Amino acid sequence: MENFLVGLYGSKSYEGGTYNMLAGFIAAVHDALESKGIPVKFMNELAKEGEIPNITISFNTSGFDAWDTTISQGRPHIMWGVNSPFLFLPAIEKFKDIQHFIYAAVSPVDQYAMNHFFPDITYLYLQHGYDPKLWYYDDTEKEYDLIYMSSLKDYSADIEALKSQLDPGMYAIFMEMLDYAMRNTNVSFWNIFNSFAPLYNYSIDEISFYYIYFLTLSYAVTYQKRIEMVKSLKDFNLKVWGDPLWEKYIEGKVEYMGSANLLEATEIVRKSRIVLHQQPMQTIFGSHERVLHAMASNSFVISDKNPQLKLSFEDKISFYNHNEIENLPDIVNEHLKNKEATFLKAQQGREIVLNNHTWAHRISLLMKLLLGTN
Amino acid sequence: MNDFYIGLIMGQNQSKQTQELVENIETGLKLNGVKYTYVSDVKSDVELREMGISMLLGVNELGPHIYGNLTYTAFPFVFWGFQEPLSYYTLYRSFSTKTNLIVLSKSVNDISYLSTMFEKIRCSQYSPGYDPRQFVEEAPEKEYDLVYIGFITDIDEYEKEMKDNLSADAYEIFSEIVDSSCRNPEASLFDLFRNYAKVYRFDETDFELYQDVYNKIKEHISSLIKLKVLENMDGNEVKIWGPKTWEKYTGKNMQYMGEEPEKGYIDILRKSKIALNIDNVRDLMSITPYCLNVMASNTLLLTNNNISMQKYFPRSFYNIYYDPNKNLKLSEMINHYLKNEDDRLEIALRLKTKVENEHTWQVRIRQLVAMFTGVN
Repeated sequence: MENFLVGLYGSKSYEGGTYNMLAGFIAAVHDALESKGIPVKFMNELAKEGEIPNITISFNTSGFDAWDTTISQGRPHIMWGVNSPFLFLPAIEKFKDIQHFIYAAVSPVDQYAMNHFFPDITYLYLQHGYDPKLWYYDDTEKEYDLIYMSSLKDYSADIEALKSQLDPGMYAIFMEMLDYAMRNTNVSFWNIFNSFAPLYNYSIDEISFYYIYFLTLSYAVTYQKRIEMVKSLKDFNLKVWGDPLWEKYIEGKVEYMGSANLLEATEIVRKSRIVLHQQPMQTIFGSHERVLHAMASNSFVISDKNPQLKLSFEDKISFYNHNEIENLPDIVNEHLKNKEATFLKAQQGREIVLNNHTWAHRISLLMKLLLGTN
Repeated sequence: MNDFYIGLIMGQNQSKQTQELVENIETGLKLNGVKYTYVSDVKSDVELREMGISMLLGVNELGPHIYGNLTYTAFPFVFWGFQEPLSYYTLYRSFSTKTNLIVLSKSVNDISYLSTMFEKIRCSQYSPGYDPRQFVEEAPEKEYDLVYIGFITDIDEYEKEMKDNLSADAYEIFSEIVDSSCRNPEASLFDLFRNYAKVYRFDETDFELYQDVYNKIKEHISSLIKLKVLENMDGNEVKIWGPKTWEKYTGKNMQYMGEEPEKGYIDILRKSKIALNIDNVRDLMSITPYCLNVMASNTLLLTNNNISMQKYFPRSFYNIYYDPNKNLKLSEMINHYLKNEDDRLEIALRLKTKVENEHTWQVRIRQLVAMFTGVN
């Protein structure tokens, strides 16, 4: 192992990506590799030293312009996505014929679409982990009862933009798909795209068509669900952090708190009794770091139903059906009323993530998959 | 069209349903002036060409002794399966490396399964039609407000059986898939199965396993959704025909009326103001004969969302769709249509006219032949 060197795109500055989350991930992966005794360096250091690592890792497209230098020398590159690979289509298309280009995904559902459009790219379902140095619990007082941290963009503008690009028939199909996706929130876009194809006689081989539908639809569903969830809790002291657009949808007792970067977020989550989560449509059936962060902070998670979270955490998380969002207030109320029991469950959840879901655990799994070692 | 000659191949010991379908297809062929003949013993494509046959058409149950020889030929063979694709697994497997089979499947859901399991088989979604001859007698008076006709299974008995016979892990996965299917009532079970396989790390390509899971849970899921819809009608009473198992669940707003009459359910539909449809898992994303018959009865159909129905009967023109997870909306629709007879009659009539013009067997056969001849 001592001759094996991993190169990482990024730095330990904890700065970069939305709210610095990506920077936090790469720093944690660096530490995790180091703790396993696996030689690791950031790519900017390696470039100065003229060293070529055996394998490189980036989150999303960090350092994209430099990937060629190692990939062209036959060194595997792992692009660890925090979202669907189709969000990074130019990068994926550039390396579609490279068999040592690996996309590590936080959800298994894109595998079918990836196999269809990019059969040579290795698709690896590998959940994210969390960094126990950042996300922990230290008996901080639980100041906030209920919080939600999430981005929110104007999805209706995207739909309007799509309308102007498509002919009316194709736009009508999109709207049918959108409606279907809102009714069936556990169905992946690939499955929807395939189900509608024989009915409307379009080819499933046209990636530009798939891409534009996927991008617009998945975000529209994700944001619409987020808004519906927050609106359903208008009678609660729910505090929302994220994009300023949230202010448009805040009602009743709900309060918009502004945005928070990585380090601020760790504090907020630590102070929170219950953290809400909704799995983005792009990564359904997968996991999400927000859940791990909350659980590591001894905060109780209430999430929409998600098979991976159910499998990993069983009853240490409370689940609700988005189709029956009207039941969510009762679920939240129950946990707020029974604070001790909720705290105890959160404590048990914390044990689970600490023992199974840190970046170090993920690195062990990754090394096992790549090298057959622990 | 004049030179187009269809060879009908039929299995022996056909079910009553298949016999009726064949009769309907034959009538459609006759009404469209399409030449056809029965081909009982298929030997070779040379022989078939000598007979002048352009295409073979098979329906439902066909034994390997009927279609077996076709696997050695390149002769175009259209198979119209009205049941779920698992019923025809042996046939599909026999043609899995061939390119002469074209499958017409009633549901787009089934196509996802077919195109994954049998990549070479070409398949299209194609709906059954309805027989207008069943509606020629003068329409009876509308004596029932709201009806539902369909099967149900014993939910508790099923739960017990599954618990007793499955390992704890298997039972958990079963329960998760059942729950997910109920929450996503239009989702294909095959797609759910494959996505769950990835999370729970079981073999998604294991056909035997899928078949086992599918057969074990399909009726249970359908029953759970039916009960969920029917138990919460917010004061509206629904009259139900179907198996005696219904008696266990009726009461409150459900009145059990008895088993489906021997002569069929059309008489009940024609006497009803509103008929509910709740798709069975096997019928998801398809246009069923039941829905066509409701509409042909000048009875208002209220049906769960279904993308195939919505393509031909758009939501913007027909306010007839409900979400099984949103009972309040369905109750509001029922109340509205019972109180506002003009609205109900207006939509029912538009639907009736539409099915008469576009969804009879005659139209289906004309479209089918046009698919192969380009002449409509």
